[in-house]
Amino acid sequence: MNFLLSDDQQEIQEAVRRYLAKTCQSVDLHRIFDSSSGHDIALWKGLADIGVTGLALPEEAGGMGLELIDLALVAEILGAAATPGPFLGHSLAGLALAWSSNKTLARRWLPGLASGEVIGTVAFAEGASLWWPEEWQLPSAAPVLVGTKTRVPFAAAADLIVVGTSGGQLYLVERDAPGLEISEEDSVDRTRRLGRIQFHKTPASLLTAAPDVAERLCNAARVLLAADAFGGANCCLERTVDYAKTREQFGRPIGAFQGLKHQLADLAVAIEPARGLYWYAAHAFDRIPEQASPAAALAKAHLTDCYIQVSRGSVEAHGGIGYTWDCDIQIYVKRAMFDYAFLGGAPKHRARYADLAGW
Amino acid sequence: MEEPGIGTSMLVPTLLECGTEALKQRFIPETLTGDIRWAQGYSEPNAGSDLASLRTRAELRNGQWHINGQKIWSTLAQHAHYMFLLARTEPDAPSKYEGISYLLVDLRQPGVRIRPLKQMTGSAEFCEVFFDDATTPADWLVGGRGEGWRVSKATLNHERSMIGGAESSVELFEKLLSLARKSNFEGVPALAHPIMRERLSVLAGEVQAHLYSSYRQLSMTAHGQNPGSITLMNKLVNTNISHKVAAIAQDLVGDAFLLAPPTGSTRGAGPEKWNLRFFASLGLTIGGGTSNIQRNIIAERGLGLPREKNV
Repeated sequence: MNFLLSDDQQEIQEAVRRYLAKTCQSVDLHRIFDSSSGHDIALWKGLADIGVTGLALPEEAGGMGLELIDLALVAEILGAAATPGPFLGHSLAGLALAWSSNKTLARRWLPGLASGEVIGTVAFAEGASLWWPEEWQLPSAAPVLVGTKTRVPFAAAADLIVVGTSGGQLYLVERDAPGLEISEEDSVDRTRRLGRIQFHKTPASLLTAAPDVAERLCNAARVLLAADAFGGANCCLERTVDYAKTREQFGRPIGAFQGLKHQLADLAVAIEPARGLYWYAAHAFDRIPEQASPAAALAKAHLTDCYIQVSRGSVEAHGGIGYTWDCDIQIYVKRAMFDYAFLGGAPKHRARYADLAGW
Repeated sequence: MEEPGIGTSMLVPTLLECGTEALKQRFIPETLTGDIRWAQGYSEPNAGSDLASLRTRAELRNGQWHINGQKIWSTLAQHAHYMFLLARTEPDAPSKYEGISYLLVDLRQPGVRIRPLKQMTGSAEFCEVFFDDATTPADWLVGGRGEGWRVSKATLNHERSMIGGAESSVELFEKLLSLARKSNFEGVPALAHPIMRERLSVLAGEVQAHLYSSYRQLSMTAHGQNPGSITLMNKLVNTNISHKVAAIAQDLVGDAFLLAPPTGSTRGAGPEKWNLRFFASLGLTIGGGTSNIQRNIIAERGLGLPREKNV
């Protein structure tokens, strides 16, 4: 067993990192964070140009034909830069189309999704923290949907919505379909805006009626959230260590004080060894199907929990400045809140892991 | 025969790295077969976390080192044949780190007195070792004169990687799961109780992370890459896991938590044997450098934060 990234994988990460270092600096991040939509078309187009939007989509549709591990490695880098935009929902919608038994729909939409010109999203939640395929209650009644979905990432910017319905089925709804009512929710994480969608007899096409496909889609979401959390937590730690080396009080850098050193060491010990959890979960998703669900549940719970811990610790280490809107760290705290709660919190995923582990 | 760890895991790698050919020939084969058992002689009553302030002296007279002083926390020294120890050989050196040498000593001689220390577990694994003009050959020196601090760091790294092994964490977690399978918690089978399932899942995340992290470190080392600061974290990760195991076990064993753990074969081996692991997890925070010393190392060498002055 070789637990290392390939040269190609490192190159993909490096390409995204280089692009974001130019286009998603602190000033850009805050501008988009404070904007009305939270979606920056130039930033998205640039990501599309380096292949991010179609990374795991088939080559015949213009994608790169790579696996979830590659997509997750990109999610880590996007997470490290707290990159605003529809990457999560878009990636999941693309996978749902690529796996769909409806080949006509796949052929029609995949090229646009791969190029990023068409933006996709997923509608999973139904309020009261009902997130998972076995919990979906929106009636599966083709050819129209009636009901409400909440917490839909970038619902307002999306051209295509993959909707989970009762029995773990997946439907596709197009943006200009009649009877579609979208309203924005006041999202805490302004880099990933959420919306509420009401379907009033909205025409929808069945993507798949097989609940294991919806389950697989949720596992992909878990891995991408875990990867984002690892990237974000790691970046919080790096920034906080840098701050501790330069900020002086009592005539020396605050990082020279043992109290802070020990806090930062504990944050490092929380996050650094946990990288392999999302690597393994992505690898299991791609290659070891029977391990995919438990590994995804564990990685999602553990890493998003770590992200909350590390980002909160980072605010504390920054002192007053860390508590301000102008500081980047507050954006990471809110990304951590998104990663933690989206698709259900850590206790829900740990309970799932315990079930899947056969305890 | 060889008590796992001390000779094979700590001295042999150090000899391979820093020892003379003669010392390698003399000691390595019989250490590996278990015919020679070793004790460690680092800590002293006044040199614990601040190990470099150690005061045991060794003077070279008539082709022999004469050793005077006291060592403590020498694991199983009462059963050991030899000790690898740190002694001050250059008392006029400009700093406390210089002037320390790494010597090998036969413990079976009149100038050596060994006194086992009874631990909180009730058994005696640690010893105090007193040197009263004990002697050892001039060439039983590992590394050069005055280079003992550097040599000992090599050994400590071996000790910490021994303590930080992910396999031991995985094994301990498996044992905890079997305990959970046989135990009740608040009147129901423990594994059916949501609180226990949650706590075990939290721990499973840490254990799996530690395991994959060790795979990654192995893969990187095997490919000639430097795993970086993660290697400094292994011991603390392992210690943290053992503490959580102890905390969960304490709720699984029920009122057996009131019983003394078995020492040797004198008492029963019911659930109270987990009390031994409860104690051992405390030992782990201390041996091989305390957890707070580990945090200093991670912060200073791993994260590059400013070093403590005068240390």
